Parts: sequence; C-alpha cells; structure tokens
Amino acid sequence: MKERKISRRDALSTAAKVAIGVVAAGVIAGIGGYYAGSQVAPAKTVTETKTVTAPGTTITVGAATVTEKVTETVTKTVTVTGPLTTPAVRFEGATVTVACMAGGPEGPHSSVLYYFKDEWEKLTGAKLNVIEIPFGELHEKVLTDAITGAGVYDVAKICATSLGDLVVGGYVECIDDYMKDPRFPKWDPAHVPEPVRRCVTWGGKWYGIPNDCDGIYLYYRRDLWEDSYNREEFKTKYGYELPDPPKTWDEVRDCAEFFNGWDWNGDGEPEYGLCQSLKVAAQAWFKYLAVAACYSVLPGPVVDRYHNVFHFDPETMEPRINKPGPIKGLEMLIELKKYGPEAMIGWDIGPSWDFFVTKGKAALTWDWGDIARMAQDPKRSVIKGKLGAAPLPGSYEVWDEENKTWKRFDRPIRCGNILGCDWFYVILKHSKNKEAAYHLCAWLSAPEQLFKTVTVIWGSGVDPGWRIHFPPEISEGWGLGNLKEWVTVGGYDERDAKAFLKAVYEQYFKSDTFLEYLKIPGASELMDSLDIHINEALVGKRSAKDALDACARDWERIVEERGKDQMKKWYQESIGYGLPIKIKPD
Amino acid sequence: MRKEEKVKYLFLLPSVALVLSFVIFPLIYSVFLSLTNWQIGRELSFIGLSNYLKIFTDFRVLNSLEFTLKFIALTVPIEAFLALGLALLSQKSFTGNKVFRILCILPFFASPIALSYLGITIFYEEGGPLNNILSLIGVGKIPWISNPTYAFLSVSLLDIWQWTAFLYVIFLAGLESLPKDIYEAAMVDGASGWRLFKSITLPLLLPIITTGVIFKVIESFKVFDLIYALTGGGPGISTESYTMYIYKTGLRFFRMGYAASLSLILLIILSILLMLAMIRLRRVYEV
Repeated sequence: MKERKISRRDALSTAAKVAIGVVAAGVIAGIGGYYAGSQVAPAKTVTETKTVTAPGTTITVGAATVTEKVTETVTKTVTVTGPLTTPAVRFEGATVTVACMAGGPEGPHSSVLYYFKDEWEKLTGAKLNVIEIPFGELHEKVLTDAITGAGVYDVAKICATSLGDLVVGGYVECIDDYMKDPRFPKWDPAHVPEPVRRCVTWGGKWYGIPNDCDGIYLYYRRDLWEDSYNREEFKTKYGYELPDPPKTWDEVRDCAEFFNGWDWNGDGEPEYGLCQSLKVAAQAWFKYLAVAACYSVLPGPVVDRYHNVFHFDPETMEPRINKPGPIKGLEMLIELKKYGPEAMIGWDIGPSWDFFVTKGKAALTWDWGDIARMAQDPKRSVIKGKLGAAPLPGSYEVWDEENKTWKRFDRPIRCGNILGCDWFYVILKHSKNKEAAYHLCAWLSAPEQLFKTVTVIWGSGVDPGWRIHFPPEISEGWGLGNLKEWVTVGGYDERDAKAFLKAVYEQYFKSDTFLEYLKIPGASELMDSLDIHINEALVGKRSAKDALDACARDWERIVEERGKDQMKKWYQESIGYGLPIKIKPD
Repeated sequence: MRKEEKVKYLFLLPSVALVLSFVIFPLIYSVFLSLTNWQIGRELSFIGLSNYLKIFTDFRVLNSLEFTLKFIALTVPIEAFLALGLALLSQKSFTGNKVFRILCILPFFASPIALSYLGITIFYEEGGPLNNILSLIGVGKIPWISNPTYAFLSVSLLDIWQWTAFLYVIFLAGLESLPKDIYEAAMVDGASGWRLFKSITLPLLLPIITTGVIFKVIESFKVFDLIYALTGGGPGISTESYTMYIYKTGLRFFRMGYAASLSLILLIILSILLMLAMIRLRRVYEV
C-alpha cells in the first residue's frame, strides 16, 4: 500500500479551518445560550380567591333591628412577567471574602457558603473566600476590620445585634439601589416576615439581605404526649388533660415536673423534664427572653410607649427590664431550671441539643429550628418521628406599664419572636467588590437556594420563615412551598415537618404581638449585662428582682455614657416607633 | 564618628524600630486614649481622669480583681510547692529519671485555649470522665462548671496542671546550679536530708524561687484563655478575670478609652509588684 504524505501547508490549512470552525461554533453557542438563558419567560398568572365578611351596619326600622352583613368573594390575579432566571452577570477576577460564624463545612452558616461555593463561582466567574470566626468574636472582628479600614472582609453574615454599631459608624452599604438593579438575583422582601424585615433595615433603608429567620419554638416528645398511660397519670396528678401542646409556661412547668426524675424511655436511668443552654457568654439570655416576652410585651395596634415594646421606655429611655413582667419571666425560668440537669448552667447549645436529640433524655425544650432539622438526622437523632413542636407558650396576664397593673386576658397572649441572631448578610463599605458581594448575598437568598438551605443542608443553622418554605396547607394558602419536598428532599418525617412548619408559621403570623429586636449601638454591652445578671439569679447568687434591678442600673449607666438623646433616637428608629404593628403575611 | 561605629547603629535599628512600634508607641497611645471617652459612633473627646475615677465604682472591676487575687493566692503556692517537690525528686538517681523529667515538662507546651476546650470534656457534669470516676468511687457528680465555687476550682486545676511545669523547669535549673561541695561538707558533718534542705538548699534556691514565683504571679494576672472557653467568666461573673473584663470592655463593647485606663492600672500594679520583688532580690544577693 502506498503511503499517503500530507504537506505542511495542507496540515496547517486544515488545522486553521478546524480551529476557526470550533471558535465560530462556540461563539454561536454562547450567544444562543445567553439569549436562551435570559429569554423573557411567559407571564405567570396566580389567582387567589378569598371570602371576606365585613361586619356591616345595624339600623333600627320601627321596632325591628336590621343588621346587614356583607360577604364578598375577592379574586386576586397576580401576573409575573420578566426574566425569572438569574441574569448572567460575570465578575471575572473578583474575590468576595465572607466573614461568618465558625461552623466548619457542615456547621451553622458556614456550611451554606461551602455548599453553594462552586455553583456560584461557576455562575459568576468570581471567587468566594470563606473566613470562619467563632461566634463570640464575630462582632468584634467585623467591627475592628471596619473601624481600622483593614478591608479584609467584603461581606459579613452578622447577628442583628451588630447592625446598629455598623450602620451608625457608617461601615455598611445601603442596598436600596442594588435591590432595584435588574442585573442582580431577585429576592422578594414581601416574602419575609415583617419582624425579620425590621431586623435588616434602619431608618427605612435596607442594609441587610435577609436569610435566616431565627426564632425560638417549643419542642416536646410527641411519643410521650401520645402515650395513654402518661395522659392518665398527668390528669390524675394535675387535674387537667396533658396539654398538647402546652399553651402557657405554667403548663410547661407542670409537664416538665411530670416527666422529671423517672425512667420514661426504658434505659434504666431517670430522665429529665427539660433541658436548656444556660451558660453565660453563650445563649442563656435568648432563652430567658423567650420566657419573659409573653409576660412583658402588651399587644396593641401600634408600636407606642406602652404597647409592643420591651427593653426601654421609648420616650425616656428608662430601662424596663426590671418591671414585673420580665421579673416574672426570670422567676419562671428559675422554677423551670429545677426540672433539668444542674449542668445546664454550664451548657451552650451543643450539649443541650445533644441531650434532647441524640441522647433523648429530656421531654421538653425550647430552642431554634436547628432542633427540628437535627432530629431528622438518622446518624445522631433518636427522636425522628417523635418530635412535637409549637409556638412559644403565652400568658393570661401581661404587665401593663401604663396602668401599673397586670392586664388579664381570657386566652393566652402569645408574643412572637425572632430571637437568635437572625443572621443576615451585610456588605461592608470598604469592599472593593460590592457588586459581586451583593450578587452573592442576593443569590443565596433566592427561593431555590433558600429552600435547599433549610432542607438539604443539614447543619445550615438557617431557620425557615420565607414564603417558599411554607406549604399552602399549613399557611392558610400563603406559602409557596411543598410539604412532600420537605420529606423527599429534606428527609423530614412528615409529621415532624408538619408540626415544625405549623409552629413557625403560627409564631410569625398568628401571634398577638412581637418581641422587638434590640439592635441599637451598645446592644452587645446591654445584652452582656443581662446575660451575667440572669446567670447570677439562676445560680442563686441573687433573687430575680435583685438581678434585674442590677441589670437596669447597668443599662441606665450604659445609656448615659453613650448619650441618652442619641440612644433614644436610635431606639425609636430601630423599633419602628409610632408605626402600626404588622403580623399577618403580605 | 568612624564608619565602624555608624554600622553598629544600623544593626541596632530593627530592634529599636520594633520596640518603638510595638511597645513605646502603644503605651503612649494607651495613655492618651485613657484620657478620652472614645466609643464607636462617637467623636473622640477629652475627659481627663474620669475613666480612672469610674474604676473605683465599677463593681465588675472589683469583682474581677477579687477573682484574680484569689486565683493567684490559690494557684501560685500550690504550683511552687509541687514544682519544688518534683524538682527535688528529679535530682535523685532512679530508673526512668529522664522520662520522668520529660513528663514533668510536657504540660507546659499545651496551648491554654486547647486545654480549656479539653477541660469542657473532662469537667462535663453529665457523663464526663472526672464525674464518672467520682461516681464510681461513691463521691457523686460535682457541678464543676455550673457552681461558682467549683468553677473557680476547675479553672485553678487546669492552671496548676499546666504551670507547675514552668516552675519545675526553673527550680530544676536552679538546683542543678547549686555548688555540690557545700552538700559534701554538710554530709560529712552528719546533716540529715531535711537539715540539708532547710539550711542549704532552700536559702540558696530562694532567689530562684522568688524569681519564678514573681514571673508566675505576673502571668496569673493575665489569665484569660483558660477561662474563655471553659466558663466564659461564669457562672455570672464569678470567674471573670481582670484581663477578661478589659477584653470585653475594649473589644466587645468597644469602649476603648475605659479599656485603656483599665489596662494602665494593671500595668501600674504589676510594675509595683516587680519593683518590690527586685528590691527584695537585691537585698538577698547583697547579703
């Protein structure tokens, strides 16, 4: 067979043609892909039908009284147009450095960034650098970076208590304009509960991109509650049915006492009524506020001097932490402590969660949404399928500071909360990659990522609360979520998921009032004082009243040192003084 | 000046620059800050000695000083006693002496913060190893972290475990440097072991013991990392040390002016202690 020889000219010519062909195909594919990705989606129409009954009017006609009631059926049609997919914005060469709470690749908040890192980097061409900082040092490290202008961090995922210091110091970027910019991923502010929105805004402007919807809920062992023996014994001892769920802290106390000190799980050791994290310089003060709020925050239509406020008198900045409501809350916490392990005083969340979820040795606790998620992990949970959840208990009496008396109600008044840090992203003023930074934060708070964050990422530390999280059947038709996906994608037990999501929804949208979040400058110092004085009361060093009186004196000093007039202004801005309170979803 | 003399100043320059940058300048700036009320979000303004006057009425300062002094009073004598005993034992000739010496020194190389986290496990009240052992021998569970008294003890135990090694090294070096002929002469005169220790070892070693104790007292005034993870200063503020309070004031609450004044007070206290100790040592050496 003859050898076929190819000349150099022919080889080069062929190679050039192939190369040009490849490049041309690539360009065409790229252009086509761009347009395909950003094509205008067809308009989406959502129809909601509601029946509205108005009270109507009552008139007297002769001897008769005529009452008119008006019933209307309202149909709302929402049409969504515009691109639904994330616009292809590239930030080649940019590096976004995010400071977040240290949790490792599978721990709270940092796990979210690690999980989505590759995807976001591929999407934008930018690089994501995660810097983990222990919880207790996050505030100071971010603030030090901002004050000194070192500029190490572009974004910080912060606790709401830090926002005041950062805004007042001029260290964070206002994101109002970014939110309107069509180049960036869209997240809907109306899909977040109002109290969470208030956490990330200051003076009517947006500074944070909401993400987490921290809140504390009541958890209990549903299997114990469903046991007929327990129900009978409880009724015999206390004279009323085992409350499912407990609706007041007195009922929680009775339940904790009932389940304390005997072997209800057959492991040969006595179990406890409850467990809690009460270590100083950790989370104890959140757990205290969760109990104290319902005795202290009087509901009303507007945030005024005596309604819907907790920490200070908004007109005088007189601390209210030592009023009868908060004192009763601390007394209740001291009482509840008797039904848990003595060691709780030295526990932060790790041992407490371990005790409830992994060891299964407590009947009750109140804690963040992490409990619901951890309970589903077959590797470390003994309570999957046994989890009961409810919004925090309320109180029949709430302290009325205006009339200096307890105001009695005919049903328990519940105070919703966003206790916890309500972690959200802020963009630091000195960042050299602000647009890339905002893109990251907004993308992480888009519905698809948000759903995965609370279901697929086990240790995310992010609690549900967005519209995308709630199935419609649990949220009176408001939610856009899917219960089946919580089970199939998230791995939840169906009953556990239903109980938990119902608790979250009721806490946010069916409470009578809300505990305001203290985020004024100096919040860290104020809460530190509360923390240590609560601890003194819990270990018996002081009575509840003495402890909170000492706290109030500290708060007065702190406010004076920081400038009372300025603190008053900031406090009023931060609580939305004078504005109507909004609980129902948009 | 000759060229050779100029060159030697060039060699001195880096050290001088370091000392000026990291010691002298921060000191002078701290003094300046302590006379102001600088906080985040506020303009810096001069307030004279107000920060220093506030210290006397700040209950947390008094509390933290009380804890720190009690901590020093408990840990330093125990560490000195244990270290001296171990050093004297190390002087004896026995099999495994070298390994024994290494084991005595090892704790000093542990990182205090790591030790503190290890302490959380060791002192874990609901099933930690220490309470498990105590339960086995009939003592029962001790509230190592949740009770103020036991929390103080927990911190002290960790400090004793780590810092005995430091004093051990100093005392052992001192013992090795003592002249042997005095001992030989005393033994010829029939002196017993206790007499040798009381009349020769202790007097000769006293300057070294004093030096070691002074160093440890100064170090104890700065105790922070052991407490930070283990108790966080709690329960309440029962284990909050002075330096922990300075840290919180400056870097948690960002009240830099007040924190600077607290730091300078600590500097003054330690300087007075050091001066008294130096006077004492000079007298001992002169004798």
